[in-house]
Amino acid sequence: MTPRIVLAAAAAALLVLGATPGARAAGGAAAPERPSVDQTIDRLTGKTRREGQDRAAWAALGDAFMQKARETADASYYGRAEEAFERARSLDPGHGDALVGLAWVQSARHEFEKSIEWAEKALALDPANAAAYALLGDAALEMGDYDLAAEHYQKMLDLRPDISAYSRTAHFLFVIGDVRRATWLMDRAITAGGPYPENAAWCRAQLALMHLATGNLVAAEQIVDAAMSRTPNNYHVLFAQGRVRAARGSYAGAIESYRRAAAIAPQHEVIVALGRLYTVTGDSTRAEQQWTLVETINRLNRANGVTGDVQIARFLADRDRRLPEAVAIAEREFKRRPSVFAADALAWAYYKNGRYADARRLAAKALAHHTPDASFLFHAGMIHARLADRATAQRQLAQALSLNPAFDPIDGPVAAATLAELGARAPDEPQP
Amino acid sequence: MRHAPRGMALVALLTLLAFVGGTAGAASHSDAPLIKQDPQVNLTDVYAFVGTKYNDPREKVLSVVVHVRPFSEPGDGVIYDRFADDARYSIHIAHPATGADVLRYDFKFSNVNPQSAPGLKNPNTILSYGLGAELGPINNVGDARQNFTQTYDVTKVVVADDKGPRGAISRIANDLLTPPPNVGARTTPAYNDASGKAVSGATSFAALDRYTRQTVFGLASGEAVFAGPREDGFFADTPAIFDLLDPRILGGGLGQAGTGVDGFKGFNVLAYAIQIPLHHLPSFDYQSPFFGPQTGVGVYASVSRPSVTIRLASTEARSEGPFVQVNRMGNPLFNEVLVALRDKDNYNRRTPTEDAAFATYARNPEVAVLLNTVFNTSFATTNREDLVAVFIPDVLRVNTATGPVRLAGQAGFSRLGFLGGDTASGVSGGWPNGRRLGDDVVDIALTAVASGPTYTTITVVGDNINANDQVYNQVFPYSATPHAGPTNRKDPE
Repeated sequence: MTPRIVLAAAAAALLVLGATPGARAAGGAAAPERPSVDQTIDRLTGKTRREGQDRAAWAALGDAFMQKARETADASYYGRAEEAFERARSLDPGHGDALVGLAWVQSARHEFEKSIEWAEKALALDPANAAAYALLGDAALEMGDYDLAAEHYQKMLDLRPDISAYSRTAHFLFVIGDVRRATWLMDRAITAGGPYPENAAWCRAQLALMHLATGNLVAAEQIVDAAMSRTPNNYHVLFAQGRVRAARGSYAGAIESYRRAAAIAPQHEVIVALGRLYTVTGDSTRAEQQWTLVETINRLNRANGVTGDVQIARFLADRDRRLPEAVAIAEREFKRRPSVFAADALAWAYYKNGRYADARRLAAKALAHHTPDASFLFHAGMIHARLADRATAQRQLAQALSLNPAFDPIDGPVAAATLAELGARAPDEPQP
Repeated sequence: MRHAPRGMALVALLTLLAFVGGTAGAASHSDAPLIKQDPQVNLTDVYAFVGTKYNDPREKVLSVVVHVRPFSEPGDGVIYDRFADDARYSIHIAHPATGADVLRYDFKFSNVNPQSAPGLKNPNTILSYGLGAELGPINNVGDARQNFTQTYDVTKVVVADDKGPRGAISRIANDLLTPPPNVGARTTPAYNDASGKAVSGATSFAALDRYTRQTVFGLASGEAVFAGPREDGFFADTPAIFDLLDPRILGGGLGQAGTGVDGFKGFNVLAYAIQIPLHHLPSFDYQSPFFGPQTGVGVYASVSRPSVTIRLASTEARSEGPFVQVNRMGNPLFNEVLVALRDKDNYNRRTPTEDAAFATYARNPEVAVLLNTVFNTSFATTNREDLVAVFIPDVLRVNTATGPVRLAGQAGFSRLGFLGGDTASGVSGGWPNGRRLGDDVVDIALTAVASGPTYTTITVVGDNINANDQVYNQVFPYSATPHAGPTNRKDPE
């Protein structure tokens, strides 16, 4: 049963996290009706048809397609956005929004090197282009250069502090382990608000996931509830709702949330989460369907120019599928973009291939920034257990469970069982 | 009360307030100046929760673990920390609503500096451990290689029961052994693994190290007790909480890096602990601000010294004169975070029945004013009856009708208790329902300060430290195995 105050809390819709009451209305539901992204696309398509020389309209159409891609997770919109930005650039090679738009498309496709090129072109023409700094920061973050990311994001914030700047910085701070400022800034982002309801919904979902990742289940639930009342059909929010429900042990409810999210946008992470819940609830047929779907999504993404190598490597390692390929993919990815996520995926792939010493080296890199991700600690703990470093394994597994006891329906119980096994022998007894 | 860093963080905060136009006065560099000089009687943490008997998972017991002697250095060398022999270390069972004592267990320790047997086997060496009647690693507690062995007695005092005041005193244990400190792999090998690091995280009594196993004593009266060195199970990085404003103001100079560093990492404490069968305990009704009507007991700890301390190096402490309480602790953070400087020593001298005098510090928490100043928030700073209900009287209120609670490392445990979804029968698994090793009391307390009195929105406030540097044992005495002298976790890894 939930304590009474928390029940009362759930009834209250408004989220005020570190912000003064009253400053809230800006991002709230009371804002005037804004056109939906489809209305914007219709309007701009008409405009570009009538006035084919309007470079600003072409760039704005590209932006609308990018927003549409965000809302549907349909990667085919990247191509349409790219076309629109290219039209704008062909009319004016120095069009800042077009150059930034092209950087945005490449960033969405995880082609960060290309994204950097376009962003630098935009900055050469206008050194005060905040969006270009945002994309440079994104690229640095994804490529694991956290000092450089901080530099770019600082310039972005100094030029234009808005939902985009706050939410990016919040995500960055979370990755480098500064949870308190991360959640505080994400709340600032929600307060600042964005042109489409999806923008704040994404921030709310991220904020809920940040709280969940650090074990603050009740806070995560309150934020999800607030987000659901505003944007009940946003797949990020539905995904967060599923995570919160799974953390509560309500697997049927979580499956329902994930299925709704997947029906809107079949994203890699939601399909994987769904498959894992089908696995723990004993529905191996449906679980298998999800694994097939994950591979299909990966192929579709590649066909649309999107690479998602870290997540697919981690998926293959998790599922014990094509393990040598998992190592090859993760090695390539880590060499190119040594982020903590790439380091973790490679550590886990080495572990699954029996290369424990290599796995330990990479696990240390994954943990170097204290990213609050219990699965990193879980992987590191399992690796050290294999290397018979009992004290380190115990500490890391205990830290994983302490950070977020419900971090994963499959790995969580494995962490607890391994911890129990490691703690079952006195130091003077022979170790297995 | 707690150790210096937390007090220092508060001082830093007060200083910070002065920067931003507040009203902070002159601040001392100690949360309770009189006690800072007397670390052997400085209580650091009290843990109390429903668990199971160390050797019988079917029997439900109230487990109380008390930590004293902050910042015991694992590599101290020569002497290592010992319990004061002139002090009385007490665990109180009290009425959870009034704070009145019903039962008290007193632990009294043998001479810290004996010159001859049985306290000291060999006076002609500088070594307390590894060279007694013979040279070599200690195999069993009190063996010929353990030169110095501190022992203790336990007295049970029935202060009152449901029929009124009593006062029956009975000695329930005599001359129990304490284990040696973790000197290192060569002297105390049974604590450590092959790399010389302490092994902890035992999930059963049989899995505890041999020294700890040999010093957990089941008593004929039904209780079980332990006393000896343990790892400091508290974890916090208070400066990081205030990082939001400007990390540079608080960076450096506090003995902590300010970026999520457990200021207690790598240190040991001394612990005394008891398990009391639930059927030996009274059960009282009380009201929880969060979980409604409850039944259970109140728990707190105190240390007292005779009014005239006679410290003669060569003899046993002789005074059994009137004991005066010099330190007290119930809930975490109360005395060092909420109580104003002028009343901190006063608090240590009082009993929970007098805590109404300190209620104003919970009702009008200065820390909320400070948070508002630093974070530009508008947390409620007055009429905090929710905090009064948690802290006044200052005893840990333990629901004895539910449990055993989940322990750190077990499935379903959350360091945030009910805020993290860790409840049973509608009651939090951890603080403020009792307190477990691993409860993140800094995050829970600051979140409560920021979210109450309505709790309609949980505002998460805390530090960036979520777990202890060493894994706890899941069996009595629960606290983690003490860090080894040469290889402890203060060293960078």
